[in-house]
Amino acid sequence: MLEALSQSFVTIFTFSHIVWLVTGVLAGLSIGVLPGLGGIVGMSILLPVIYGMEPDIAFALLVGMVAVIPTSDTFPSVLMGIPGSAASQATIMDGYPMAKRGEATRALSAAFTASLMGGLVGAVTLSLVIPIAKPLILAFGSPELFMLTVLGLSMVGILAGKRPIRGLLAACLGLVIGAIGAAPAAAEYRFTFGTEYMMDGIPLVVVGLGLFAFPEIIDLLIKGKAISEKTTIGRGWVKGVKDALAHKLLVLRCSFIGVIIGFLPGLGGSVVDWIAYGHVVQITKDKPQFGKGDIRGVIAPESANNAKEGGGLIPTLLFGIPGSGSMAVFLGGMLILGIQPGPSMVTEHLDLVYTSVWSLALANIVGAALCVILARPIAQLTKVRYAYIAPFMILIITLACYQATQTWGDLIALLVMGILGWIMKQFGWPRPAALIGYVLAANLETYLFISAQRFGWTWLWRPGVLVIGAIIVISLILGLRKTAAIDKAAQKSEAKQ
Amino acid sequence: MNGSILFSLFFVALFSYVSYSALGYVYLARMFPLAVGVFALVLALVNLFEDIWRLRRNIASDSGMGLSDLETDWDIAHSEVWLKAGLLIGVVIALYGGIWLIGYPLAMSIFVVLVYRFIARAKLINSCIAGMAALGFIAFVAKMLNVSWPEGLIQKLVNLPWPLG
Amino acid sequence: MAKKLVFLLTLLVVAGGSLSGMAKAVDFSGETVTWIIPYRVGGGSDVWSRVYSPYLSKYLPGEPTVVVKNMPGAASITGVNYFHRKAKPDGLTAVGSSGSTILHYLLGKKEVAYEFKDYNIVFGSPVDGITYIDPKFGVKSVADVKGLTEELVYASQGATSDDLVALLAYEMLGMKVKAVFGYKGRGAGRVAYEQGEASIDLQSVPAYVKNVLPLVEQGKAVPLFSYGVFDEQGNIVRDPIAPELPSFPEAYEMVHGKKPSGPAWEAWKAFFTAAFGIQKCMWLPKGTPEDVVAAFRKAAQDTLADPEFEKSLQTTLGGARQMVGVSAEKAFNAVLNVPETDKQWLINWLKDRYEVVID
Repeated sequence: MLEALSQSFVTIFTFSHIVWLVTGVLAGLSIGVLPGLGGIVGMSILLPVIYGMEPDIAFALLVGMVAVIPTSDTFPSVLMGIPGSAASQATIMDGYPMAKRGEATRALSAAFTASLMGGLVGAVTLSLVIPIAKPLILAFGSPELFMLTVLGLSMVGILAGKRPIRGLLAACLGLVIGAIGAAPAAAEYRFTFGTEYMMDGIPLVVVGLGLFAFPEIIDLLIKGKAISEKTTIGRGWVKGVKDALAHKLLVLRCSFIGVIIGFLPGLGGSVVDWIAYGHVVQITKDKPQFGKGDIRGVIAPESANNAKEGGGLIPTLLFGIPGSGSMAVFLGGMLILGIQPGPSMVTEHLDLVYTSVWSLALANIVGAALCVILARPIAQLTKVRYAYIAPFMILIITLACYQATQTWGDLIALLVMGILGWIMKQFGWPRPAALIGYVLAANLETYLFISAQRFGWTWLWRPGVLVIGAIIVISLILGLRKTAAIDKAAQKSEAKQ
Repeated sequence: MNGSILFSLFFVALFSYVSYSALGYVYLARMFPLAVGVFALVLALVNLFEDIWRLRRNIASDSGMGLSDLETDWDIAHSEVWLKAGLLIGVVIALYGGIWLIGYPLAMSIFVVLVYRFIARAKLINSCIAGMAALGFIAFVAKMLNVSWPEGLIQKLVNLPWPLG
Repeated sequence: MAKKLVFLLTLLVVAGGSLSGMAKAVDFSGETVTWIIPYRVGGGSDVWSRVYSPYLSKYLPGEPTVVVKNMPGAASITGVNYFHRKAKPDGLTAVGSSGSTILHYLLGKKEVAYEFKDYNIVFGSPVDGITYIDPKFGVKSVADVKGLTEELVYASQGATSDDLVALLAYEMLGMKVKAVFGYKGRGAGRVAYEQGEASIDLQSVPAYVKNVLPLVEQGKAVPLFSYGVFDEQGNIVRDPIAPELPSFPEAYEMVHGKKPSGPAWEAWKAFFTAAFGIQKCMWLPKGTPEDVVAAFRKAAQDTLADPEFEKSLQTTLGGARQMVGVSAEKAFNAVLNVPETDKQWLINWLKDRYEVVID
């Protein structure tokens, strides 16, 4: 194993590999920076290119691309309050307020450092876990996956806001939006209003950009100023690196959260940022400023979302069951290269597995370095009057939505979601709760039905289910106590003023 | 009656509809939306009563989301915010109308020019440069992603050169 | 008189012109052939089309660019409907169909606007599948399922997916199989089998070879039967890749002692053709000139003869015998010629057994 590992290390540093890896990194960075475009789009662009390539070079290209998307998607999340891709929605919560406060550079450099460390943890875990991956994956049956989905959903309890009923209602709204389209367990289409568009449900990019990007654009246009309320964007870039290093334990924990969620097929990568965010809210002891621009609220999701790619490669390579949309396309890429995924990857294509490991690590380093260099110039955008930026933002989000299914339905759904999101924001209905509900709806329903159909009620007593159930209860109690404390502290400080 | 209560009413209506239409599906498709719908309907009613109760007691609606969501601090009156938001949404709808008429690339580029010229009050030449940049970007993305834009009415009548057609 | 002469002459010239136009060989130089794939990028049909497209480009007259255009939506109905409405019969637009495309066509779903009777098939690719079972039931071969009384569990995507063929096959063999719906594909089904959530499973032959054969060797799975492949005459026979396993018709005979017949069998054959026998097909629109169709079929034939392609066929598409032109037409007839009553039988069966209402 060590021999193969070092051998592929030598291969990866050959000239052609480096060139293709960097090509992949550049593609990934530019796709990630565009709001709404993520790994699936990147894979779709590169897939036609790889036909006829040597597999290890194609792997360097694809893995290099997918590894850095969660690095550069931080730019729009922090600077514009617009999710750069599904993996960095939670980064908005604290990164964007920091940008408004004029601390964009600090938030960005902390995010990139966290991303880098998370990515490396992901790569290391990928290489270590492969020998024991099979029993681990097999330990998570549908009942366990259902409980993990519930664990994700329990983050709503932490993000429910001052009126918890509204948080729950928003989550239910998300669940209903997620239930639109084909039912997972029956040949029935729900809530389609007779349209062909809605038969496949509303795409994630439309919901994400509608709920978050559209309202932000409207609000900033109404204000008619620049995003940053201060004229400086801060020097903060050394400070940001120091921030991330100072919270290295947090980075490590969130990276493991990311790896685990990426590793478990079927949970999907879109909640990993929210779970990491929920985690940091729960465990923080001192007086946090979450939601107002706490640096830890940036570090946690950013380390988790880079780490998840390392985890996500495992079920794709070893089982042929992709855990996320981009991995599903990657799987297609493997088949085009003539590689059947499966347990034999470890015996027949071990070199490719380790090429992935090294590509992942190297891409994260190159990607983070490039982003740090670009951070200051790009952060200048927050000083530009928003009317100059807004039309391009509208261009990019309509375009990102339209490429989802390439029908008018995408554009109309974007407008409807956008208006809904804007009103929710005005009246204090938490949109993150809705988004979490939406992302988890399909898993929640599917795994519950499979568990109930297959095991009746007995699945409730499986040890894995009980363990995860206990984690849910503890996390909810911790989280609710924490949020109550934060709200109380906020009220006190308001009263003092 | 204020906006917030109307929005709470909207949730009551929405989840009533969800619960009602869920009843029409086969068993395996019915249970999930029905459970969510009924549960949320109860919550929505509670929320509505809480809103009405607050209105009658004159408790200011609890502003501030804490850590649950972002918020915008307004320095102008709320009615003005709503008016302006309505206008901006109208602009987007007009943009959609433009796409329907003359196709996505053309409508979007003209939109960029117009916003630059009349909302941002940039110089005409700069506005046109911005418009060309937008068109170039659209063309590039269309090539990379193999996207065919929504065709406008005009594209059906006249054969416009790429990337406009 | 002179006028008449001129008129006649013009007529002759025009006729001659069009005649020579007819005789002119098909040439796609400088053109782009768009191949609509109604599934997402990276899915099975997408991979299939991307393996084929460079070779088609190479062997079509004039070497046109062949572009794969993914148009996913509504289980492939959206893309094929688009093809049906928009494609001109000039050979510049083709469509790829897969199992669920034809399944929904056979079931007569109301969203389906397309009509395969009108199209011209270029070639078709079969994908065979193998069903295997948990050894704890003591079943050594498919003949033993006769005495099997325990209920088996099958992890399924849904009753109107390709799994329909498997579910009907189990029923015809008299096995008691409980289908648990909601799994996201056969890969997830296989993992469910390995976890013990399912006790009977189906994998496509390439996935079987990579992932299930090791289990068979460890004594954790017993293969029962393969679904089978078409021979030149359109009969369903054993898969040459797994010749030791009986095909489904043979399995039926081993269990029941007679050849399969009746509405269940007729319906099964049609759906088998759609989901396995000729799972992925390339089509040209209604009214495409014969010489264009012939040019495409020729290109597909040449592709199959290409030794480079042969390699990709083995590694990526599972190495099954591809069907071009007339032989594909013959195989697809099982879909087009299924009697209305047998189709209705299946729709009723779906309703009684799985509460599926087709509208």
